[in-house]
Amino acid sequence: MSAPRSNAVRQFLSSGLSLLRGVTGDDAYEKYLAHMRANEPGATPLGERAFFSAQLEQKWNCINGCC
Amino acid sequence: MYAKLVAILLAVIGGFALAGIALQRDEPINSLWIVTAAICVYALGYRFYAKWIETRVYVVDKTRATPAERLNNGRDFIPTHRWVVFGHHFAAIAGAGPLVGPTLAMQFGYLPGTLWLLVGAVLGGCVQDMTILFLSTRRNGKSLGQMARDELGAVGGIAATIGTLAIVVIIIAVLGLVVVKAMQNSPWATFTVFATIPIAILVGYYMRNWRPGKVLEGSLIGLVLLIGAVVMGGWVSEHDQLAPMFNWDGVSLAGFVIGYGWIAAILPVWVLLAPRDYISTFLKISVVVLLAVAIIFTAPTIKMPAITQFADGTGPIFAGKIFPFVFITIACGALSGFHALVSSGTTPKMVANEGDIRLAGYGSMAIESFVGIMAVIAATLLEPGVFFAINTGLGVVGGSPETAVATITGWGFPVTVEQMDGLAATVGESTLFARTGGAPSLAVGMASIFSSAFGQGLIALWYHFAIMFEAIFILTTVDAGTRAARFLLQDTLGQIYAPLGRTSWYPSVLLSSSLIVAGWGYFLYVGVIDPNGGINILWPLFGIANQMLAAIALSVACGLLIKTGKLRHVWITALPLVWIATVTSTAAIQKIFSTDAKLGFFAAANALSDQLLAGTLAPERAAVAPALIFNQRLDGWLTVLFLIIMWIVIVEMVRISIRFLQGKPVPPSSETAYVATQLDASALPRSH
Repeated sequence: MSAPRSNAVRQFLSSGLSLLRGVTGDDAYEKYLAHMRANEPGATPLGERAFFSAQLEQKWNCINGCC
Repeated sequence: MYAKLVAILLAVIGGFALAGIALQRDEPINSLWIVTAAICVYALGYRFYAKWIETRVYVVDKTRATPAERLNNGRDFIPTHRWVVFGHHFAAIAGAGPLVGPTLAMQFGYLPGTLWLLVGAVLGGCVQDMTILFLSTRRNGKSLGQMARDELGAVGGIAATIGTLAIVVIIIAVLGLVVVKAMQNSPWATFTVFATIPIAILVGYYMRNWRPGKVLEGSLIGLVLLIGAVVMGGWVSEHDQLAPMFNWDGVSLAGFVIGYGWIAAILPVWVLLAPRDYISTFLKISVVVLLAVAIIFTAPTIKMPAITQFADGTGPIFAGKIFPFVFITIACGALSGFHALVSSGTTPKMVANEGDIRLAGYGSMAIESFVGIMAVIAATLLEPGVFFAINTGLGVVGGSPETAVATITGWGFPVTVEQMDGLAATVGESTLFARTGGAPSLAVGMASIFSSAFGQGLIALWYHFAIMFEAIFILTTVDAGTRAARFLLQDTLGQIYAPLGRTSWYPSVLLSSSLIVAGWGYFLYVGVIDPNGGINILWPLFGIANQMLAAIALSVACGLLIKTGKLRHVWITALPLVWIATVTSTAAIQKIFSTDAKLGFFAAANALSDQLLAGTLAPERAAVAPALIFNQRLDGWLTVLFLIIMWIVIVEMVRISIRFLQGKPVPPSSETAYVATQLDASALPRSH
């Protein structure tokens, strides 16, 4: 496989993966950290486990799915 | 210029495909005609109608900051890449609904259901979802109920809340019934579904304690284990000692689903609910893609006639004529009120720019409709005789497999006992007769598509994979729905006695969860003991409830559009509203007043009661008759309630709109003020 083609494949796969991470919420903690760094640099962000637990509680405290 | 050429090409191909479907009446057609027509219709709807609505009706403003930007907290309000919002929204709206409804509606033939899926989605469902998403985004992500309360007044708000609560209870019951019917006396299916519970708990523990927040890793592990469970289920079903342990009857399985739903609703979400939802999202997206590829690759032939004789209302799967019941049976996939709850839930808090609303709102619903189209194909590639033998309750066709094949063959759909037994053996089941609920026939269809695309010989595995796929959606709906209904109920009870409204106060949690589970558990139990299959009663009730909610959502949309000065274009939601209100009212009136015992709830109750009094019922039917009589009456009164709620909201909306147009005081618009965006939404990463 030539170099440009393998680059294109790699790019396709990596954008597919990042889309999947976004949709499933795999990257939620990274987004949260980025938000905290940008907006509240002095504050101590939640740990990964505490953040995940809080995130789940909030996600499931309303109707968020359908039949 | 290029875009115009593509559009013309789409229109020509789409028109050609639709004409092909409409004209090829007497010979079997290839499913690719339907796929082609569908894709062209969605593409044209998205490119032109949705674009026109976005620019002319909503007048979306790409310079306006969305709630995700203004209220960004790094958690629920968070500006998100448009394709991620789309994927998230699709995963949230898609469930078992668009698979089951279209399957059942195939008793009318493939054409009516297919046309409603296309037209209903492009002009109704997609517009509803997108409009509610737009309105909620302009109102800081408020829920449908809040918008109804704030802008249409307390009466409309309360009616909307009661309607929502009712539909959640009915949907859990009917989907619970679908999964019970799929597992009934099937050790393989029962083992696989039971195995999803420890797998979900393991994945939940992994995501919380071992690798916190690594949901993709956890989901992948869960998926591999689930496939392992499907394979192992085959071995279990052949095992002399193990197979009987998983061979449960309907009532025991209903007890299991009820107990499971109650426990899942009161446990912390990370234990069972959240991990299974993650696995389910993953599975959903992969199966939808896989099925689409397999259908295009294998191009199965449709064997069902375009329209069957059951259009006249004599159908065995559910009663009622093609109008209004095809529009009631296919709810999700064409127009689903439930989606409005998602469109005014988490999605509006993620939209980074108003320009992304069309993709998430309209685009996701178009894909959901396509899932419905795939269910149509999976159901209609079966021999019609087989389709009816699987989906008709034995009580309807004389009580035994022999009378069933004789009756169904008499309808002009030949089928034999040997054919059914052979098929059952191929998919690893003891029988496929009267496996009502839609899931088994869909699984047979999906297994046939998958096995011809990816290798023959694995058909039993594919069948049970499809059953597991449906069951995992449904169990997620069971516990997520119970939890959501619990919050709605606590909110309502809190107005009577404040501590009951505290969502973390354990006595209140137990009380409200038990009430909700008792509610749907009752309908599920009666459905299971019904010799006619139960689904023939519950699915129309669900359809009426869901379309009532769609009417409520469309009313809110109309009212809010008028109040923001868009009277001229209000027809985009008013036309679907008029249609769905007509359909729902007609269906409700028939279910209430029909003197035909097959159709009317009260007529059925009275007929059965007469038979019971006259002593003409067989002993086993007489034993369950009192419960069935009570249930039919209850369903009748519920239908009355749905009808009243729907019309209260419509009348309130019209009243408020007229007052607004007359310049009289009305509740003020809660649309937030313009703030200029600082964000370049096109530069957002898909993930970090």
